[in-house]
Amino acid sequence: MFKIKLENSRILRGIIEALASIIDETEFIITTTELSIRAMDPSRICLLQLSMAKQDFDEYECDKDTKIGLNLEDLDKILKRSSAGDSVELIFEPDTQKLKIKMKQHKSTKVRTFSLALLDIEMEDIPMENLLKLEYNADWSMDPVFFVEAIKDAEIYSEILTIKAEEDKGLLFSSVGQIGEMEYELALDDLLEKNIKAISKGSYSLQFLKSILKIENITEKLTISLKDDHPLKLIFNILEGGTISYFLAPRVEEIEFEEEDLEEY
Amino acid sequence: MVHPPPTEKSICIQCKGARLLCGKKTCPILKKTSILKSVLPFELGKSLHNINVFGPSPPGFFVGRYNYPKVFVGPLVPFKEYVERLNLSDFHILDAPELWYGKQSDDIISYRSSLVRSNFKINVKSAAKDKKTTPSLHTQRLLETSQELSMAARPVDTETHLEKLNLNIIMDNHALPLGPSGITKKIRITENVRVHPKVEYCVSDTDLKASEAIGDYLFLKGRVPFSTIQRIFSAGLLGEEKKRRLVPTRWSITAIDDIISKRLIKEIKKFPEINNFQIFESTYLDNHFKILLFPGKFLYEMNEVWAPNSLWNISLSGKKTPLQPQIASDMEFYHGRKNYASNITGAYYSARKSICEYLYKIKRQARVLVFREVSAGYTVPLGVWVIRETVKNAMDLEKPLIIDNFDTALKKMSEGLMVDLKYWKKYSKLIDFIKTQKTIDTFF
Repeated sequence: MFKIKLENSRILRGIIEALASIIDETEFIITTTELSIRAMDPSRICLLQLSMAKQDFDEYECDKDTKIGLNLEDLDKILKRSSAGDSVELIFEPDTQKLKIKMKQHKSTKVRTFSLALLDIEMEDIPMENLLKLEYNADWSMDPVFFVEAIKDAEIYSEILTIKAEEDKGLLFSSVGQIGEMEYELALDDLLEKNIKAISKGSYSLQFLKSILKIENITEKLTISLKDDHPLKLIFNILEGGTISYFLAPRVEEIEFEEEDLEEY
Repeated sequence: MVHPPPTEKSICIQCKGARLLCGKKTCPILKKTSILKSVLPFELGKSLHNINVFGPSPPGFFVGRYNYPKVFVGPLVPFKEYVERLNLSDFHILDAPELWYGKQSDDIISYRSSLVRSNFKINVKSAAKDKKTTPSLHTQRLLETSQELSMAARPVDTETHLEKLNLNIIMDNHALPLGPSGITKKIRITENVRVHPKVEYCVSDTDLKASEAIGDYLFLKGRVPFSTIQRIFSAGLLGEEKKRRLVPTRWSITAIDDIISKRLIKEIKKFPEINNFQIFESTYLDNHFKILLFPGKFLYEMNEVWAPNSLWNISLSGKKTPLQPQIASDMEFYHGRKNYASNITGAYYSARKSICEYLYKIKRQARVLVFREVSAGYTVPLGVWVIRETVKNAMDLEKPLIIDNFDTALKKMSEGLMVDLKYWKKYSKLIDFIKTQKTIDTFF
């Protein structure tokens, strides 16, 4: 059984909305010390990990480690019904096979309770050890607003955003399309913290970046790590506690197929 | 002689006569009526006066889009003089494009030009029985009769009187061609109307959402024909009572294609992926389709090219210099798209519908890449049914070509097409995505 509560429903609502744009259904793992999710999108391009510790919640009761499978689209619909100033409580009793979502308005006796049936999900094992061990050549933290702006600029031109970090210059976001190209430069001073050891460059799908950055309005800090043709690592610190990390697989130069190889067909 | 608008070369392909990007009042390309002369039973531009029209409506009902929300709407009734030469045993075919595959474009223009539109003007919100927009009792009666007729499963004897009948034909890229029209003051149905039970149910349930009525009740459970679903939706007979609207025919076609395929995609995503590369192909009315289904979670891209000197890619200067292939492309990833597929427009949704029906039937999901090549013979647009039915034919009849890798599949996709693979590759975002996107598990 568990019972967890956040005084401000906006945080949970924001998290679920962002997750639902990448994954359809997933397993929530609630232990005596934290709530966590680890999942990949259906096309296996993006991996995400959410972790919120007991103390990040306003109330947290859990007597035994529990895993529950949920449809995120449905959970998102329910949480979208919460209004500003609502508190939200998630309650699970093992014998019910349902999650209860309770919304209460401060200084009001009104209580709204929704229930959501659990899903039986076969989660595949996601071995993250190698990803976590990756040595990145450039790490920095920045105001996510800049990143959102660069994504919107790039969308005019293509599906791909190229990010380049240089130790003495700063960051360059760019995108090239049929109609032209864009560049978005940030000097080192525009970054909050930086550790850029070598020129690093990678290209990533804008569609995924857009979904990832949906979390931006409930986070306070974004830390990014970049390495040539490797997954982009983005770690968001959630307002009022917790982190959500993403690994986004890169777009790489096309391996042009040999014309001769095709002749035989 | 057609005088095309003096514009940037790709404007016509984007606009396809709909948005009038060239700034003209009517699309000069769509006005190529001279080629229709031999097919039409009347002399274009003339008019007839004081005409009684009586005959079996297929049924047919049209909602215009000009001057929205106060639009012209009206039932389609065959004009005896014109329809006699068609020798039809069943008038239902005149407004049922799902029965047209294989017909020649002259047949279709003949069908459509023998139907008379008896128009009246009405606010689209009148379908909601909204107090603010309640029309006059007279208009209300015209609407009710039209709605009753729209629900019919079989042709219905209908009578109408027109002071003046304008002899014309309107071509549209999405909707079916439309024949002569006039303003009516009176429409009368002279026999009992037979209605499909699921249609009856959805029309009378005023709490049922339109998308649910269409996707679940009419399409999946009722197997109601496309043209019937589209007609009753357009006639403002579906959805929650307060939200019901008359929907311009042109918009309603794409809406139904979209709603049905979205419903199917929801199911398709639960099915296992196909395990090889399959190419389907069909050609009809100068529309050549190649469809590649390949392993992966559902996603969809359509690319189309209008061959030099075909409908929307004509030489603007009148010179015979070869034009560059103009490829338009739209796609959606697994989570679907939120905005309109504005490069391909309605054809994107019609092709998607037929492909989704196939995937639903074989209980598999796949990644989908579509090439459409329109050659110079497609001189008048006949509506997106050409796309829906040609793709359906490709998926239904042909045995697919089975291949085991993406590069070979691409090469096979462009075989038999006029435009070289390198052009398709340049415009397709899906091909680029497949060839350049790494998956995260390669870093585990």
